[in-house]
Amino acid sequence: MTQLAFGRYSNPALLILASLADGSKHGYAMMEDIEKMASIKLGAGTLYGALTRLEERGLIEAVETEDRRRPYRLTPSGRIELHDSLQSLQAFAAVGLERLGANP
Amino acid sequence: MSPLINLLIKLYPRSWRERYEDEFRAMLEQYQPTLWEGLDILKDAFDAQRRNPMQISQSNGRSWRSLAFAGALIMPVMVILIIFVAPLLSVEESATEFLVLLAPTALLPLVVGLHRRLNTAHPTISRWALAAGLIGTLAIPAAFPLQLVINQIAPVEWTGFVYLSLLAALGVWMLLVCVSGLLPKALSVVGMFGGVGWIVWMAIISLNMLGINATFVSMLGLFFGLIVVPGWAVWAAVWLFQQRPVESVDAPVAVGN
Repeated sequence: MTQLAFGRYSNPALLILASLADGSKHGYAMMEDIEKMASIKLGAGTLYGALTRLEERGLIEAVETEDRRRPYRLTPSGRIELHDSLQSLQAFAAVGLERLGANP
Repeated sequence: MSPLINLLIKLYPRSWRERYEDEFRAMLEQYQPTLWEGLDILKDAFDAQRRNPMQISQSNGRSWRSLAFAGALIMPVMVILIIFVAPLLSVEESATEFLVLLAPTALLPLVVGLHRRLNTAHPTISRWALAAGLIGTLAIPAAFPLQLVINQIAPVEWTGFVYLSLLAALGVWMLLVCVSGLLPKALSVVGMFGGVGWIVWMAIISLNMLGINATFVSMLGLFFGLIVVPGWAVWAAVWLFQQRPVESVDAPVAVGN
């Protein structure tokens, strides 16, 4: 599968939620995972800006740890939000592919 | 960690640093941040300052608003009185200059408006104080040339290095307002341009116009002193006066596209 880097048009919040879908991760692990998953290098400021807002909205939560590198995980509402967003993207992609004449 | 990154982290609001600084530093210690990363952190630090929660009750908002409104009315009058009346009252030249030096202190409301804690706890008074300070920046350059004509004060008395430095501080105030995150982007950009231009103009004059065409200096002064800086001050003051107290300015996060 070809991976496209959408750069500034990508959505850091969605990328973070997707990264946390398979388990908790700390900031640097998320950066690496997102780069591997979507070929997008999130800056530290962008990552923590999105993390802050996601935590304020209750979509992710910090995991208690003794380590300075604090991991985060999805909350139940974060999981629902991610699911809805991905379904919406899937529907959008299906329409786009259909218009291109390709099989979705 | 580089001193630059350390400095950039200090730009985040105190509340953000109390919650995230330690883990943020731990993350940055795992790799070598690039210059681009530095810019990214700088941008997010300003975003964090902008979305810093500002809670205020409506009743407190009204009383603070009244006080701030009174200050906004009194302050420009005080500025003009100092500029016009002080030279008339003084007998000795040194006393004249000393009293005139007080004029920029009328910009104290700008400092009040920029105070982070006040901005967080009482955004209304913070905005109105900022507006009052901005009117001050308008009043000083506007009254200054008028005073020269009306009071017949020789320009040489007004171009002392110390006084010019204090006037240049107006440009610094403008830059501070622009990076405070309280103004919209367009106002910040114009304000930064005006602030830098104002400082440059003062620097040129204080260097006694070494080899520089006097007409050019006059045109630069007219452009920044009578157009850009006052125009920006009016624009920013109007924008600030239009703002209303808010319960919260947290920006929503759009997860899906």
